[in-house]
Amino acid sequence: MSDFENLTGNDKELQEFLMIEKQKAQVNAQIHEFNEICWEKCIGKPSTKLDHATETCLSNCVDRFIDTSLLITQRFAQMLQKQSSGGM
Amino acid sequence: MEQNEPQNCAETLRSMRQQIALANAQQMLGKITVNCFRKCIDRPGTSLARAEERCLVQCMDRFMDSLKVVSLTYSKRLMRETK
Repeated sequence: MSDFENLTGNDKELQEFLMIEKQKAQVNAQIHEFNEICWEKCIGKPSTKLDHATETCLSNCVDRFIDTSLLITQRFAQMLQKQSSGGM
Repeated sequence: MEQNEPQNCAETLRSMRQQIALANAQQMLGKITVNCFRKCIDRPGTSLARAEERCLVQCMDRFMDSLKVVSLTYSKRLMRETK
């Protein structure tokens, strides 16, 4: 009986662990993508510290990039809707 | 059979966490290398010049600063979007 319990418990723990790690990896990948794009936009030659203007640029860049992504997704959804209603 | 014991499961998870942490660090270092090479080395010479080395060191620090700002902004935005 107890062996069977252990099997189920460990499998569940492992599954949860993998799911959480997968989500962490996805968030990490997003952060790296944003950083590379915004690094190019906001930082010319690397200096002795990040000044306030550069920090603001980086922060705005992330938000604007997400806004851009949302806009494009929404527009595409509209296009698909128009297509399907036109085809009817 | 032995994998079903709780101690082995915890061990497995711990070792996986270590591997994941190592992979993350390697990924980050790779990105720093590519991005800072782009920023700091204009015309590759026969060795790294002092100025290039200084730039690379600063660049690495700034890149990690930048990662912090981006991570913070992203997590704030996620919290706003999921309200």
